[in-house]
Amino acid sequence: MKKTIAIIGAGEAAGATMAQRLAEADYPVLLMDKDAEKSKTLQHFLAVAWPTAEVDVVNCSYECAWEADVVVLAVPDEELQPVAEKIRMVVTRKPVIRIADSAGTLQTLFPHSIIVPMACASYILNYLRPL
Amino acid sequence: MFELLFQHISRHVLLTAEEWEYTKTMFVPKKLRRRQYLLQSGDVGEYIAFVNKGMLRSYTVDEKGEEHLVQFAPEGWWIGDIYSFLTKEPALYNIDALEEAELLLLSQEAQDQLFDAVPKFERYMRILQRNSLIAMHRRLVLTISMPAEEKYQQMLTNYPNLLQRVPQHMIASYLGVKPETLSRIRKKMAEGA
Repeated sequence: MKKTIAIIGAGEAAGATMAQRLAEADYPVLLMDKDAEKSKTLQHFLAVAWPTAEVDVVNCSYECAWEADVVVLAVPDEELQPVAEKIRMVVTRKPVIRIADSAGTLQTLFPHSIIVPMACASYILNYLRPL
Repeated sequence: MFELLFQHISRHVLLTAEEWEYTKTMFVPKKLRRRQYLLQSGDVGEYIAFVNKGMLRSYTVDEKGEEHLVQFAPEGWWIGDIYSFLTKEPALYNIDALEEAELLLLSQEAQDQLFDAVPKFERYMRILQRNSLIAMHRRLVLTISMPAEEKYQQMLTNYPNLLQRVPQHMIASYLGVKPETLSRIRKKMAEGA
């Protein structure tokens, strides 16, 4: 059985990239963003790119995390606390993965360096591989 | 989310507030949409599930593609492929949601941990398994030796609101009779009443 993955903060760059990689790998994905338009646009994009992918929009982080088997948090740092309060009850014993769009921030902090993004998508895909 | 499970456990054993708080942390809350699978035959049944809301069913599919219903699980019931859950062999059953469902999932690892920390939970599970064994034997005897009317009556006792929630062909499949036979039984019973 393929695990269903919730991406909370799917409108953020890191979240959207994650969603693409997961849809491409044929995982059922639930998209949530406080800006509902963003997740809708992403869903539309993914449906065109990978027509067989199961991608749904859920406009409430609580419902989204409840339905999922794995939760990816891609929200900005300042939203982490309120989101955590909201979903804590429904993620007991579920893997919760934090990804953030830190590459952009890092690049601003280190304008003349090469910023290497963490290969988080492949790490998660690896983690999800059936035993 | 946990009220129904707490009620169910409390019918058999009494947990302290502390034990209950711990017990709650062992379950994975999960929602299923209608027709979504909890388990597909061939996969390993990682969890057993307590149904908090909605209804699930377990069934096998034969070579001709026909479904054979093993169990319905409305609110307050447990469901799973026990064989696969305990042996980690591929599951024989498919389990899916007949209605949108809220579940509390328990993995074997969490169950073992719970047994160690809350021995009363092991007692609870033992009572459930005993009841399930009795029910299974009754179902076996009904299936191999009783007329379809008896099977139907027994099913109504086990699942009081089932007729309103489940299509006829699934009920026929659960009873192991043809849908035509089921309509005949129902007609006969309606006339007799």
